[in-house]
Amino acid sequence: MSAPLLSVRGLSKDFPIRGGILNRVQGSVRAVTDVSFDVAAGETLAVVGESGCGKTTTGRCILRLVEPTAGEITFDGVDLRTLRGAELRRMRQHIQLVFQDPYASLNPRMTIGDTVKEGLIIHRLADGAAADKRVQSLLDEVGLRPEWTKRYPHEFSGGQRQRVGIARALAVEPKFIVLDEPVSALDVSVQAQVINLLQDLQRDRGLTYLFIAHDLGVVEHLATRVAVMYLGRIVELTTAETLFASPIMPYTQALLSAIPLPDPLAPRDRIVLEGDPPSPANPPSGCVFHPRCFHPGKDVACTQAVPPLEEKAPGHWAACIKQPAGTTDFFLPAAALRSRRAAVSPAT
Amino acid sequence: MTSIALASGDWRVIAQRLRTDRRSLLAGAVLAAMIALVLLGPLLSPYRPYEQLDITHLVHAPPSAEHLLGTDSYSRDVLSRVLSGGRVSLAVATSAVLIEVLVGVLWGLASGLAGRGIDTLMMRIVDAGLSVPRVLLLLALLAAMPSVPVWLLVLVLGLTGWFGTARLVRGEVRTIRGADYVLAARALGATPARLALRHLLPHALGPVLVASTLAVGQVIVLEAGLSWLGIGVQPPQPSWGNIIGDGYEFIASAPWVSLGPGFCLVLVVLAVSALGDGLRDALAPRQLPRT
Repeated sequence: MSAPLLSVRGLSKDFPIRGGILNRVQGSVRAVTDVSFDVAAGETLAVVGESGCGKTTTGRCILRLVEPTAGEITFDGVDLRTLRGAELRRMRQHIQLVFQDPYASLNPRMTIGDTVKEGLIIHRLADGAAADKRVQSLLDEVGLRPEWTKRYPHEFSGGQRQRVGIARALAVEPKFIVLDEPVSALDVSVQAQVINLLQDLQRDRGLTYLFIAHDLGVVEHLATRVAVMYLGRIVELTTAETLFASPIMPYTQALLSAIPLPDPLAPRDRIVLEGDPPSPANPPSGCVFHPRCFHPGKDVACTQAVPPLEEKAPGHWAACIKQPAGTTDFFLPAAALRSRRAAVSPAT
Repeated sequence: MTSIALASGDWRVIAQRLRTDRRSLLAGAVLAAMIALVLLGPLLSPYRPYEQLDITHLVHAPPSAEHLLGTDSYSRDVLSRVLSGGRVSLAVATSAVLIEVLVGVLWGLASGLAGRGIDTLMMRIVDAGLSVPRVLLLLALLAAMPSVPVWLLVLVLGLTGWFGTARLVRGEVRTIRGADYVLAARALGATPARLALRHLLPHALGPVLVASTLAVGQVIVLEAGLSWLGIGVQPPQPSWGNIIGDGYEFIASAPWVSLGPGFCLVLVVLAVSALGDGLRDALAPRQLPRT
């Protein structure tokens, strides 16, 4: 593999907790802990995990919308964390963001034409009539009518607004787009349209995506590789195909077993995790997943050492000390997964 | 599907609401008429406002066909003085409010965008300004000055009135500076100035407009009070406040001297307040059927 487009090493982000009469810092929430991954040009890396696991913070750190506490972020050979002021603003042209909430992400006081045009003007890519023309072709590209430039966001549906958000990101011709749950707020039928649009754009423009999601069903369709996050850490990272076929981590297995099946009568073995995700302000010792883990080999060692993210099989990283490297022999209550796959595609 | 029309920031919607609100329409009409009257004052006024017409025979003449609002103790025509004084009163009030808005908006934007330390410092200064009654502050400042030209009065009025605006703007900026669309603009590479002017300020503009409309009414009253006390607009230059002050001594024998400008003052302040309230209602979010 050639040099990755984006390389993240040891990324951490602590948010201070303030309180008391003097509003002093009383502690911190580790939203992201020691996260490392690469994204190759043209691929889609999905980051999945439940609410509060740090996936959105990871995305915002890459965009420098949130200042990381530690770690390196290298994009196209440039260390993003060293950029300041105007340098940083210039770099922003290359990395864009699409938000989850199509209602909050558009300025209600600006026409959608002005919203899409803003990036063109900031980076002096076009002005005057040329800019208007660019805006119209961008709207057309994302499936909106070019003559809608004078309309305000409240005149559009959620799916249409999300398309405006995508057009805004595309306007500056980025190489890399962080998609922060871009379809989670949309109806299922609209989700599919937006996913298809994102795939078409990636193909036509050679885009690279970091796709943040909590829905593995969407990820399976779109992702090249998948990183599973739990409580601020990446616990498993591999190709989408491998992850869905032979997940190593018990947590990943539980996530996979939770994907809804199209056939409500299909037999299934749900892995239901016990308890709630622990507080990131006070994470468990050792493996952060150990209080909820159902691995038969779980023992006191799991509560002591933080498991490193290791390459257990070629291209398949996982953070579990009970999984010896070099084997593909899992403990797996694989019935859960088999029943799922059988229900989705009876032929296999 | 419904949407909040204010959130659309669509000024056409707001103008439409104002046009259909009878109170705002009436207030706007009254205000427009008064402004037109005082602006055209020099053409309309029957006499010169400073001219003592006949100091022996025309002192305290009651209203008549020649002198619609009567004459004062120097035999000057009250109507001419009210028209001329109105120009001064309205000009002083609007200029002072413009200063208030300018300083308040800049201060509020800066405070809202600043980090914790600077924001706290700036807001404590605002608290200090708000904690002193404005009238006391004005009396102290103006009494300390040997003379008070009109421009200085405007400046002092403006610089004692911006604290509320600053707090208002700072609050609005704080509530939306973390909004997704503001993050999106930052992610696009917008400069802080662009963020402030294109994304943050427009959000605060509605409340500022309402507050400053109401402030015009307050400042007219303040200026009148100061002029009545003799430390505002200085005679012989008329303002509604000092004309009322001139007539005060003779309120029993020649009430028309104070009543004319007093009536204009009340009318304008009521109209301004009603218009401010109307604006507030027009800008209030409400659910509308989706168009």
